[in-house]
Amino acid sequence: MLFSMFKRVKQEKRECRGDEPALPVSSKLQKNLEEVQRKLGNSTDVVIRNFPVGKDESSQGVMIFVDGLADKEMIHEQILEPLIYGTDPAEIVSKGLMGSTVKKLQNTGILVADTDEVKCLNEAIEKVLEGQTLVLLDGVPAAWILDTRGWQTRGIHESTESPIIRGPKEAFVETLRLNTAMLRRKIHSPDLRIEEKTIGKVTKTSVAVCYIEGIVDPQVVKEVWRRLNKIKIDGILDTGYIEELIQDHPFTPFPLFNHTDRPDKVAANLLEGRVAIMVDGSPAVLTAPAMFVEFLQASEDYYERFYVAALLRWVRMLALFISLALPAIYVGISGYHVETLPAALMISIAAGRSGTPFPVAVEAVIMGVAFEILREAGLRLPKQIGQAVSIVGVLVIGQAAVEAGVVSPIMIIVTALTAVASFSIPNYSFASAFIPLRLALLFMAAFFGVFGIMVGGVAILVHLASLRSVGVPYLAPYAPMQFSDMKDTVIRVPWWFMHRRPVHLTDNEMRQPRGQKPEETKGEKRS
Amino acid sequence: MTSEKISHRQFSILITATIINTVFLTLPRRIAIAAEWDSPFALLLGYFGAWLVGVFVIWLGLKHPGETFVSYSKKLLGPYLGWLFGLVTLLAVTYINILDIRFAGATYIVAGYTETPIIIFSGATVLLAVWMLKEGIEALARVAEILIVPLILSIVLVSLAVSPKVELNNLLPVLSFGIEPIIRGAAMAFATGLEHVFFVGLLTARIQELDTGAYKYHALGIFWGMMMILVLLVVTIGVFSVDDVKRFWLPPFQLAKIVEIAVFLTGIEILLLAIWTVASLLDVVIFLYVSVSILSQLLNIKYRDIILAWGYLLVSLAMAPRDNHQVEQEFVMTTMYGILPAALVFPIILFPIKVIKDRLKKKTAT
Repeated sequence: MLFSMFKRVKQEKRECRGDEPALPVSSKLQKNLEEVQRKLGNSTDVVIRNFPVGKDESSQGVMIFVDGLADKEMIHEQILEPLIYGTDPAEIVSKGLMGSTVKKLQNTGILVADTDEVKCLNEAIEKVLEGQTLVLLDGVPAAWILDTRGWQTRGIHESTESPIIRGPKEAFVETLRLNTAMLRRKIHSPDLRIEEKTIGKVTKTSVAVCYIEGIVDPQVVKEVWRRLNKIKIDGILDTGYIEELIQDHPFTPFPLFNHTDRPDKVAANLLEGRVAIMVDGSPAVLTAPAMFVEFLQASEDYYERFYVAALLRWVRMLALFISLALPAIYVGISGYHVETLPAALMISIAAGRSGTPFPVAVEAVIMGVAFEILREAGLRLPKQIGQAVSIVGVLVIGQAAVEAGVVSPIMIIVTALTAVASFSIPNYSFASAFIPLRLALLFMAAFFGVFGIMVGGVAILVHLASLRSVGVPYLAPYAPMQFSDMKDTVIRVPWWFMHRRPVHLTDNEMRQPRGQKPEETKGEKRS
Repeated sequence: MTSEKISHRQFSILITATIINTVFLTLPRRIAIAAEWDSPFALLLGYFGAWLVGVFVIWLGLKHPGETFVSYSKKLLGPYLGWLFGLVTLLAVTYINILDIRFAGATYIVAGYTETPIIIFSGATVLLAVWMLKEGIEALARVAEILIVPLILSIVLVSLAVSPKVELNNLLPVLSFGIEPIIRGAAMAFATGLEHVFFVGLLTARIQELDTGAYKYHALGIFWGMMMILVLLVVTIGVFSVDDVKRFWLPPFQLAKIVEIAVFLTGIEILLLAIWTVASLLDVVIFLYVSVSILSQLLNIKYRDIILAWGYLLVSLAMAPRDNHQVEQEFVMTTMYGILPAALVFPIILFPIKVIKDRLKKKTAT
């Protein structure tokens, strides 16, 4: 550690980075201080601490950090005290921060693990704003950066996005370093790569790209970096910004990157050859390439018995179909092809609809919109009030509307089934993509009946077939068809049978050797 | 030349889709008129011939990798004759395309949408087809991979559902009028089956790693397509008798009307028709692709630039026929006197020319 630090400090003058004009560190402390104050203004959270250097107090130094972002206790005990009592100003001035002085500083008690020397004040200020501490000494034309980052973070809690019953419960938090650590805890391989870059002219947000060397397709990593490097924006506050800026098709309603707050899911994705993108300040981690079937899979599918997992995936697919097409099918059939219904059902629908003032299509649109309003209100309000809204919604929109004869009971059933089905889709962004499509399909059914539904359905399919996620077809492994990849799509085969990784994602297909099926023991007596 | 590529499997599925297209709805009647009880034999014979011509087209494609039949026919026949061949093919395929667009709309009128103008159905189908082609041949291949599943399932399930109603007597006697009905029916099936060769002539230029495996996938594509038509033909004749099949405009649609599932589910013909919309769409989109590709190559322009205008020109032309019977007659006329002679150019003219040219080249080289 000391050796690497020594090497780093020995590096010659670096160029100032960023768009702003270079601001080299002056050897005059006052001048440096003025520049820093000019850049940072009168921000009350910026702490500027003057201190005398050395036991004889013959020289001056200044320490700058942001209150709340830096660990004050560490600054006091590990930096300030050794600087005041353990340094030799004459040596610092004569040799700068180079060579033996740094060694001496370390030896005399500064126990900060990560330090750096910068020659550019702009860069030093950027680091201060990240939570590091800047030390400037009079007569030294260099700034010393000490990593003292330490702020209050939200504790690691259970995933709110995709909670599960069996399996790891922890979820990512808003701190990038903690998130990368959580990922490292899952994957101990030295091949796990975590590469970072800063994006956002104003926010200067750290963005990390994670992948496993040797499993990932290098072209995918290259492509992700190419797209990230193209981003020119003032700020990045969530992975959603990145997603919209780098996705393959700008206008599609479908998510072309999967996102999750679960470390186990990200680890599983990396093991299949995907790339993860993390953003400092967001617990949502993007993974790519993403495929359509992936959005119908839950983490628990891999922790439960494979029969159950396969069955649940079928249930989710059915739910997807219901959430997309049920209102349209109801409108199409009851409006145009009522003869296809069994006689008893036909009579029941007719009886329920008698006396309702609106055509069935209008009824469906009203109920659909009412449901979306209720859902939105329930989501945005605090939990307790949200529940109250749901109860009011159910009572008013449901029971009262039927009793008042505004809508038919069957329409309430259709709307409720659609709503429940849409909640069964594990990925919120993916489920949301179907809201406008459901409405579009409803209009098509209202105007053209079953023909309209088919045209709308095929249009959605054409759109899906044209999509790609970081170059990989969205409908893979169904279109283009790849039988070997279907073992983890609408079904999930047992782990001992999953020998290969998805070929659409990686050239390093072999996941594990064959022959791991557990032996069945029959008729063996135990004495 | 675009960089869009399809796999061998996608090639095979596209061939199956081309073979089934809407032929499975219309051919049973047409072939029953020509071959009576011998229709299944006529169908097998006709499609065997169509497969054989396709083999010649693949051979030519392998000899001219990355080139469509429009470009290599100019090399083999000379620029003017080659261009003329392209033009003749364009006219035949375009006419079939126009009839397909008309048919796509007419099916829905028959199915009960009597108050909706036919142009709505035809227009919507063409709009979808144009969109699909704007997305490219790769997207078309992927859509076909998905859509072929419900299409084949619907044919198989309908056939299975009505199989208890099949009467063997309706399928007999075979060969009672000698070989002549078989030849007549086979000629019709052959001409209909030949529709796919132009598509093959275009697709060979798009196959990833084109090699002799294309023969196998072509044969598989033909086989599955033909089997679907054969199954429906046998079942429709078996259920209704030859005389009734000759009377119905869309015999499989009549078949769907008598399907009963679990007693309470009847009248599913509309749902099946919805699935068969897919067949109409694939039919329209494939022939639209063929026609617009030929046109764009003849005029040296990108097909995406003209596809919308071309599609809607065809829609307006599709409104011209007077009624469904005229559409059917013109289908027969166009396949027999347009598609058949144009397709036979591949084995009769282009293939020998290529063989002779290659031999001459070898001789001069030695």
